[in-house]
Amino acid sequence: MKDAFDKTLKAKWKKNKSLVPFVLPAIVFGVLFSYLPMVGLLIAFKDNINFIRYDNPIQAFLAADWTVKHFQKIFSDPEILKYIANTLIISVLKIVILFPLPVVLAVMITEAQNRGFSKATQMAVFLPHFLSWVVITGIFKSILALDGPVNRLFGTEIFWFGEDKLFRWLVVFMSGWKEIGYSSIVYVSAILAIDPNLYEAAKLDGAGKFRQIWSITIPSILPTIITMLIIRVGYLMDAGFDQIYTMISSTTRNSGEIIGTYVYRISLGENAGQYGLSTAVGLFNGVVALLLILITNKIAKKATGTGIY
Amino acid sequence: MKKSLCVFSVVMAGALLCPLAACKKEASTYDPDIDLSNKPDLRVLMPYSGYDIATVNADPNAAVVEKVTGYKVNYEQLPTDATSTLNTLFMNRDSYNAIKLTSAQFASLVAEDALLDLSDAIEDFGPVIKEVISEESWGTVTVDGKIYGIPERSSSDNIQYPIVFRQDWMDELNLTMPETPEELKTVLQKFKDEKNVIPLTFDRFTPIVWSIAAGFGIYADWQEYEIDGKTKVCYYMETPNYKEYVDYMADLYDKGLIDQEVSTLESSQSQLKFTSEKAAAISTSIWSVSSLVKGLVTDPVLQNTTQENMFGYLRALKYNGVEHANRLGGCPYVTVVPFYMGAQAGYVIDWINSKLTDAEESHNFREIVLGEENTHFTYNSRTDEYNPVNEHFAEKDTASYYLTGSNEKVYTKYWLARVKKQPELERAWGLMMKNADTVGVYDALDFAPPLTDYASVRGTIETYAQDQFFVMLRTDKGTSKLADYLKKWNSDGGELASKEINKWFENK
Repeated sequence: MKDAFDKTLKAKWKKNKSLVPFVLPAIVFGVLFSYLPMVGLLIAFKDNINFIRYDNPIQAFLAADWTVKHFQKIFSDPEILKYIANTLIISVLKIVILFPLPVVLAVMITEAQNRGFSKATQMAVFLPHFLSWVVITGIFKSILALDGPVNRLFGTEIFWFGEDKLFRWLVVFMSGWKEIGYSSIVYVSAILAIDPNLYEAAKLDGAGKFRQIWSITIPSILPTIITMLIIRVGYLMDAGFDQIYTMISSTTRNSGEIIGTYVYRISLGENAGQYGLSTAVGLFNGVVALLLILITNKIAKKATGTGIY
Repeated sequence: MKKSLCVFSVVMAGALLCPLAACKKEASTYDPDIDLSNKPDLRVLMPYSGYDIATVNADPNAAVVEKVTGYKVNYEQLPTDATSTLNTLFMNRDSYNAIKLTSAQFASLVAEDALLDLSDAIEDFGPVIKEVISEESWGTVTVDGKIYGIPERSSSDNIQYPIVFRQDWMDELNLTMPETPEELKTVLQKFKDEKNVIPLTFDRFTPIVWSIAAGFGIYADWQEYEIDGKTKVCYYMETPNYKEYVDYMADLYDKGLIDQEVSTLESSQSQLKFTSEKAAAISTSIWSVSSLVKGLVTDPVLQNTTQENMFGYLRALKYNGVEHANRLGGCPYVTVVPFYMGAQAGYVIDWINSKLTDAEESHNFREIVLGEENTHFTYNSRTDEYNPVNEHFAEKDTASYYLTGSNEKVYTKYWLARVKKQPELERAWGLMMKNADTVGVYDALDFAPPLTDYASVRGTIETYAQDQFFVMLRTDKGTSKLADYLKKWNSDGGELASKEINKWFENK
């Protein structure tokens, strides 16, 4: 049994060894930047580590007391649970509302008859991606100010950035405004790769535009959509730190604070420095994200036969 | 596969166990036998300045410091989010001879035992330092008899958070400066009704508008209260007065007398509302008066109006008929030496000592703060006043950044020259500081030593209190949930801090 295993391994090695140099950088990168830093997660189980007074972090680590109090706090503090819930809610809203839109946009762009118009549209929706969140939030704060153009146009007095109930929707809307165009690129290129003969054949069979889109375009790019969805779900626990950090304020923390901004606030914020607790929250966050991606992949594989592994 | 796993675990276990025997690193020893005639270059880390580091080093004030002390200094600066940077540089043992910290950063580094005890060095090389820094300032940097830094007291203990009113509008509407919460409400209502502007604006970092809170007996973040015949230090959120204050503010907000966007405003944005004539009053620090004047006079309509008495200042509302106001005290900055940089600590103290020297033969401190007599300032011996020479005095705008400790005997007098640069600012400062000794109330922690527990939760509890103020103002429309918030504040560290603070206070 073992021999057979060794043999196949050897054979595989012989066959593929020329590919090893290509994968090596990725492995080195993964080990250096993803796996080695995981050792730092142990901080979550320590109380008051004093990194400064020891010659290296390992000594400081060993000198500190073991504790599970950070995890006790996570599971007992309604505040942290609320932030976890906020993260999930905002992320799910973003996926449900925003994930299909780039597909629709890509279909519209590729179906547009006038090439100039199609290109111009693509450029226009593409650009906001390259602005930073600080700039975008600034722009929207001016547009949506109490005496700003939107409120004046509709004769309303809505305090968009300070209203707790509106905050999540605003997050989703702004995120969509920034990213839909850029996300559609993948689908545009997938659609352009579809064999034109299929459309010719469909036309001969009398299929209209919508029929063509529904029966040819969508099924052809379905694997791309599934892959993008799984990747997107992998980021479920990251509801967009940059965006929310620039948007949030005292009155919107209740529905808007997410794990990312909370961890930043208690560890690196002003006069903060609660590294143990923030690491514990980060670890918990990572575990949930891993579970989610495993589950999605499994479901996707069962349902469509496509998964990323 | 199994084999490699085995090797891996052995290596990991080894790496973890090897240094097990090592214990806490001893502080490097301070070396008293140094040769002061052979001065080394010093590497000093400063707070974030807003300028790039080349500008900081090329500033004429840096040259003045070098001239009067004889030490060549390379300045570097911290970023705005300094917490993690400080940790990293201490872990790397970066060779800074001295670091200028805020008092909060100082407290957390003391808690980590990261700073050198400077007592001996000051004894040997700091005769002037010992003389010109007051006993209460030393109290802010001393733990168990060990001195961990050179405190830098502010120029003067200012009363500095007024509500600034547009005086021309006050006159137009025949309004007088309010003295009670009810009067203030009437004035703000008038602004709203008659001028159709935002009556009062401030920024999202101001849960306590000092001049209004004073009308409810709240004068400081941590303040002494008589509770059941015992004096206790309480955070503003814990006091019974806070409830009344929030209810009052929530009522103002509900009636549209406070800027409806206040919970999202940066201070520059609230100032812009005032200078663009969208708001009638602003709660701000008097140091922004100059920019408020500048902002308003660019307006073509106001350009020709007189700049004098442009603003009215509400220092504090009266509580039970008596006026008290928050007064700034303590030492906002502390200059320290990392625990591993003891060998050259003597030079650092010598450097600071000569910066603070201000005597007949060498006015070092004066030269750093005010510059040269008759070039940057003139001295009026009859009134004992220093006056700025405006064309050159702008050069000294950045002077206070280069201080590492202040000569408390003379700094206030020098500082007044700076206030005189702008007539409206001088008037404002004069009004605010009238009878300051009877009106002003210090924070109970202004002259407290670094407190470990408080330092560890300070950021959390301050942010929480600030957030909940705006939630009560806007979402709750009052104090119905205050008890719950207070419970949460206590469990987030408020109780821990309060215990430590009161323990210190009782044994003071």
